[in-house]
Amino acid sequence: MPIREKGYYNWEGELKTSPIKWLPIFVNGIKSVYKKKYSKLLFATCAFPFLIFLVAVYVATKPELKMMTRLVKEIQNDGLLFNTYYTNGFLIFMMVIMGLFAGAELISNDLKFKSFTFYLSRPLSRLDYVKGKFSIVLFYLLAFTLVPGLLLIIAKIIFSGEFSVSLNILLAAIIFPIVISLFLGSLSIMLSSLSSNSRFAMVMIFVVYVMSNGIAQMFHGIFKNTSFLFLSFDSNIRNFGKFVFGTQGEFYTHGFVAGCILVGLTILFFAIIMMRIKRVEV
Amino acid sequence: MESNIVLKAESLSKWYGNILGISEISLEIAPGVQGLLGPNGAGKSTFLKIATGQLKQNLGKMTLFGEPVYNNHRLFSRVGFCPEYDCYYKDVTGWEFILFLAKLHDYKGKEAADMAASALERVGMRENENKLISAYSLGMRQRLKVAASIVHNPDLLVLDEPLRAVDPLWRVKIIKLIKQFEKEGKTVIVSSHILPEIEAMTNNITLIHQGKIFAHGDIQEVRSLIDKHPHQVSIVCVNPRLLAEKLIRSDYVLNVHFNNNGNNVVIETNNRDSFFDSLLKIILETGLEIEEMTSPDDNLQAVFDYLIGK
Repeated sequence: MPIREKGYYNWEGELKTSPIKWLPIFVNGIKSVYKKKYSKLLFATCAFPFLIFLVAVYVATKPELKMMTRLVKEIQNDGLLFNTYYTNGFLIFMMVIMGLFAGAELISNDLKFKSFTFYLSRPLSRLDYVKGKFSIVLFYLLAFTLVPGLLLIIAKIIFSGEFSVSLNILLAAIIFPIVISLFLGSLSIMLSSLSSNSRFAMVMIFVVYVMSNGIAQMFHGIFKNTSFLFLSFDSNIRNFGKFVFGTQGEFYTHGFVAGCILVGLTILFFAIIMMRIKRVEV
Repeated sequence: MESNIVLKAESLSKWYGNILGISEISLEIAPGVQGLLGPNGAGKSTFLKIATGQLKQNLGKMTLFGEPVYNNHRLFSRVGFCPEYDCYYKDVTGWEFILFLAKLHDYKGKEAADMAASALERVGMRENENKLISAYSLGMRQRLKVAASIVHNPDLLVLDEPLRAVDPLWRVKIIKLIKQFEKEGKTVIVSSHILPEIEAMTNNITLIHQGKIFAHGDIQEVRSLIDKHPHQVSIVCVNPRLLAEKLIRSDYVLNVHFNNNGNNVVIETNNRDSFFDSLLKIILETGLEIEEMTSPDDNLQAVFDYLIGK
């Protein structure tokens, strides 16, 4: 009978483990999304609004150029600049597409290929798993919202030659994209967790987003009450933007309420995700 | 010895709706190789999934290394699990997959690469490591699963049907690998419904059928406990009738019959020790030459068939 007693069984210390257990999931996921077909095309398309606004910020400091006058007029102050940038329809649409592209397969593929076994049999909690997956889609959403926003601030400082951005605008330019990215990211991950068919998740992300707007506009048109616009994800994002950046506009509803709705929905989506993940039995 | 127990199950039960998975299973497993044997649907995979935290039991307790299993993910740095079914992404290479799993165990950089290389080497997958998993054959994917379960050098290895679809050469190698783990002091729980596989790996078996444990222990001890099923001994000799005549009068010889060719007698006895003592005396007394002696039912198949009432 071989001797099986090992010295380390008597060791009473604690093994040092990484506090960010989900980091390998994040790194692996970033690379996987980057390697996908059409990823570079999507990234270039998402960067397009930033490039336009970068030129506009430059042109705004050179009135003699008389170019892009309409856009330059809309970004006369910082609040208008960032509100126009962050809530323009094209950017919001591209963020929905990014959430779909980066997020739809994250959990649905694990359901399809029964890969939960490999995650759950590692020293990784289900919450770590969700954090790892969510961080992937959050990374790409912030990469095309928060990062360009900060770059626009830097560009404005460089082109105007002075630090003219107020602290409020700076904070708003950071908080707004984070809230919107959390919302859109949690929506895509939640829909991804509902089915093993990633195409279903992709379609649902798009349909839910578009239909919310359609339903809100329909009720608004019938009842002429702006409160129905709270049903629209798109409208809530725009109104929250107006609230955060201190601007007003057509069909403005309570921006603070819109923000609370977005935060509330984000929490709800996370709760659904955790419920789904905890119920997964392999 | 209590402190030597790696896995302890106490009155474990799990059901899926109205379907019973396992019922009232109590089991202790010490270091070494433990075979878990049962037909398809017996409850082996359910038991192993509970042991590795994949499923939560409905009743009872399961502990590994003295700690409860479910939701105790810290424990899994010491556990390696090879599941029964395919479960990985098809659009990554074998190397990328194993390296990723090594990193999930907190190994970084070169150390993770070395662990991955070692695991793939042990299962003979290094030459195919840069191919996509979707291009692997079934046997290669099975070997990759074994690599995934050993990459982090676990103390407890749980292998659910590890030899399924593996070619004969690599069956032998994987069995050797399992025995090597035993020599290294690790605990290995191997499940299979193919009896020769388990017999080749270990003498310690647990038989499961319809969610319950039928027997647990050394295969010889389990066999000897089945008193109501006599042992068979087949003897080929020059004069089998003389041998039969001498033996038939003994109380512990229950039945004697001859094979068609007439030179082979099969004796059924309920007391092997007494039988062999008598046989020796008869051989010395009569000078009878024995050409061959075997026990046709002294194997796992017979034990299993007896227990499940075939």
